[in-house]
Amino acid sequence: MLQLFMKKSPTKYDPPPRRRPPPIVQAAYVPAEATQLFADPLQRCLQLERFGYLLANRRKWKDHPDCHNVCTTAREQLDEMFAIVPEGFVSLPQVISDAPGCEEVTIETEPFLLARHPITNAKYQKFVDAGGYQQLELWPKEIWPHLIDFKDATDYHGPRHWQHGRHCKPQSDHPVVGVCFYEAAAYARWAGFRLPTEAEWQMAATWRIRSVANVLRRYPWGDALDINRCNIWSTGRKQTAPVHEYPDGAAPNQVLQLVGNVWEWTACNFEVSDDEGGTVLSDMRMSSIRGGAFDTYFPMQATGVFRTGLVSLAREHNVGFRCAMDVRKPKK
Amino acid sequence: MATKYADTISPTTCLICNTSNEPDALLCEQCDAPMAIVQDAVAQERRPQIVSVIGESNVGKTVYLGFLLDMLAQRAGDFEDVPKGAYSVDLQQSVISHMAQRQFPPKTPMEADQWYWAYYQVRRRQPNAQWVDLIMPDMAGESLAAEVATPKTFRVIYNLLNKSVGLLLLLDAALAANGSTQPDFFAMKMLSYIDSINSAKGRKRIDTPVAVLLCKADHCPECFDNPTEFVKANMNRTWNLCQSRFDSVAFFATSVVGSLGYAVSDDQENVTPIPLHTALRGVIEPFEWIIGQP
Amino acid sequence: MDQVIFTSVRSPSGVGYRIIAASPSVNRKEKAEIIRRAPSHASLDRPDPDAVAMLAFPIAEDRYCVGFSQHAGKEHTARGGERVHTHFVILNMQDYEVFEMNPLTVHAALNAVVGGRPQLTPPPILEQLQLRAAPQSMHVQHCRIAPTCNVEAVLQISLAMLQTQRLLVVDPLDGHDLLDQTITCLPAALRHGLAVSLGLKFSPSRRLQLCIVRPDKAQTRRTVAGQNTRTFDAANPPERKSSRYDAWLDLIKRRWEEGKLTDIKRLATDITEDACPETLANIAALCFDIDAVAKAPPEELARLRTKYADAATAQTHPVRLLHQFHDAAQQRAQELEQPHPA
Repeated sequence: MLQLFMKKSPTKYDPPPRRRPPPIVQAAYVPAEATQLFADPLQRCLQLERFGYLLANRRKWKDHPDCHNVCTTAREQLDEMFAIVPEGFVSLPQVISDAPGCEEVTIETEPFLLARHPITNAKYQKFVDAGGYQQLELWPKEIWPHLIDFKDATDYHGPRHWQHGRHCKPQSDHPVVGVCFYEAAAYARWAGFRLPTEAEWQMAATWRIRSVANVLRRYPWGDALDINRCNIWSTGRKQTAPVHEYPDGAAPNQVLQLVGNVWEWTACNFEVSDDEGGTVLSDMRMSSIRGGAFDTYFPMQATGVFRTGLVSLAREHNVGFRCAMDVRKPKK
Repeated sequence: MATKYADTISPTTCLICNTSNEPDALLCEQCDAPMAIVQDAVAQERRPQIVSVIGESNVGKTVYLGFLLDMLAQRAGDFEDVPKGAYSVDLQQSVISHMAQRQFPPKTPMEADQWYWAYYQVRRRQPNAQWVDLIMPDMAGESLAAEVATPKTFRVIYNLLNKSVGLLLLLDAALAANGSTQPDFFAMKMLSYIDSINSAKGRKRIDTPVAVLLCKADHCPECFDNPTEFVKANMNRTWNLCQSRFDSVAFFATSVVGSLGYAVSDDQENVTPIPLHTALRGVIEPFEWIIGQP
Repeated sequence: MDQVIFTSVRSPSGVGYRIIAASPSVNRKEKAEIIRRAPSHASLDRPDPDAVAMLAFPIAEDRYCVGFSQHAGKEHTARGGERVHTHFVILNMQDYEVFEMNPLTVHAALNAVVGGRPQLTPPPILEQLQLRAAPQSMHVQHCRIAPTCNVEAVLQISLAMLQTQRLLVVDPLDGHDLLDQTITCLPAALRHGLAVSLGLKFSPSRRLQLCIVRPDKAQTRRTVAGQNTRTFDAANPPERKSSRYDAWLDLIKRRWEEGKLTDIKRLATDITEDACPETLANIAALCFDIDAVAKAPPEELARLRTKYADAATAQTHPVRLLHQFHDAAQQRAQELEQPHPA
């Protein structure tokens, strides 16, 4: 409590005992164990959870004795990891003010598969351990000069807040953060997936199916905010939560945490106009992020329809991503 | 025998400059502080303390203070607060309503009668915690700069800083990270000014707690890793001055905007910054520290 | 004349509202005074891009400062509202007398130089400014009563200035004519101490004696409360209360109703030293007697002549007026001596 009182001034200048600065509280950093990679490339693919890549390139291993079992396991894992989002349509406001009646673009979305959870630290660790940052084919050529900046706090390749290329073990099941758009896209490409488009993401969060009812949800669970169903500022958690938490906030297809916890990169650029029709720019190219995060103060900014963007090279503490896949159409 | 604080002050004497005013005055005739503060203070049993938020023009004082007050009203951290008087809510209402619409609040005018004043009662959410009455004015950065350059240009600022029991000094971390010396020099001037106020009281070192906030730290996230080291590396003059003259200084990084866009007019002459979304970091902690200082 | 520019720009030397350029002989105290009073963001009464305003006040060291305020686009932070740019000139009293000690005349001259052309990147050191008053504003023959002006409003304001009261006037028109006519009627002895604004929002911080605002806002009236500042609507001025200046104000009113604003202007301009109630009452009485002597019967004529026989020696009245009285009395005497036609 503050008190008004006069301290006695020293009679001569003697440096008084300095008050200690406030401690910078950090949870103890427990580095996760290194991944011991299998020698066999097919088994290694499975170990690294590159299920999409494995199935897309299964012809390469058709002669491998474990190919059938591995592919079966991969499909089972994909069934666990992903959920189908049906076809529908979304309206994307094109004006920053987002007022009712503003210019919108309506986009029809095809069915697609969306990951039930954001990518966790544990999953991303595998990408790092497999040398994902060194595989130039995963990165656009214009980003190669920036690869040297994609380092963690101790100058190892990895998300921004990691140390020595290892994530903090207590947060293995938290969404990975501190990765830019390009890192998210590289992981998705490496694993054989992709990032969802902005329209796909919004479809998954609002579940707007063409029907007589024409229902539009503001949140994956419905229309009313419920801070017990998501992790935003008002929830009071102040940090990320494990990806499997808040099951009551799931979408109808059991995709979790579309709203809250971390913003999620999408595959699209963020392009809007101001109220006078001028383009809203940033220092660099912006990618669209969606969903809000644990530190999103305004509930209206953590909904299925709120649009915002972030500089594509930004590696923020509250931005992660989840993967998507195309639905394989049955052969005619 | 304890006396009520109300018995010791007159309802027409300004709390800031001690000028007598007319009974129906809304603003102090001398310093333009709202007389409602006095009237609210009279009803309490303790003298309100002044905590000043100071900083250069456009550093983010209004936004920071608005969010701080709103977060306290929503019981963020360990604190809860109660506004005294409807005027106290004006600032947070303006900031929140603008930021929610992706706009920065209007510029704080230099005219003191246009400033927002917040009078809040704050306490920790603990059993038997005591209430503390705080007055936190939102001053214009240009007025602060003018007062520092020529003392007593704005007597209200002199009186406020003289009576402050805690200071939140906001500096532009983004500018400092880009190599600009402007934040460093401004901080030096501000701290030197505070030093001169205290020197007039015969103090060799200043024991008023000063929380140095590195604002707009979203532009340079390194600030959050170690604000103290950031100041040492990028604002060395300020660091040295703090070490020499101030007993109680702490460094913090803070950020409100998650992503910033710019709307450019057709003629390329007007560039309007747009806060695309909010991401609050480090807003409560400096205040917690100030309140926790003896 | 010294000049100062106060506005908000971003430059290597700083950001925000401040003095960005000044003549070298403007001292620190004067700069502080200007900073204290100068209008900052969104201070103009009207939000239009072409709005202008005037601010005038005495400044340290017996000088007078007149400011021309205008909008200058969006401020560099682009946070709502228009940037306000104010160009001040600082006149010594001799220069001010050239402009008839009327800040609006100075303002008009400034308008010709800087109006519509706010300088956002001036050199930090400004040279002395040569300002010339517009010829027609100086010519006494062109002094006319503005048809939109209400004499009662002018008298009320004049009385407040004479009594050194603070006044806020709400004028549904732009207030320019009202202020111009009021200053015309104000003795010159008071003009060099007049702190006045036109076209700016009311702000107690500016410590002005007279503030003329255009729209009437309830907030303005509330802000005025307890500030020792009266307020009234120029379109509906209240009834004038009796005061020690009644004779002077009655004279103004009579001349106004006779359409003789030139006379008022000359009278007011001549009062350069003493504007106390007794002096003004003496002057008013003399003017009324000048009017009366033109039609006075012989007895009255004699009485009036006796009354002012020693006035020149006593130095209680302006010499010009005394000459005017004696000329009028002489003329009346000649008229009375002439035989009436049969």
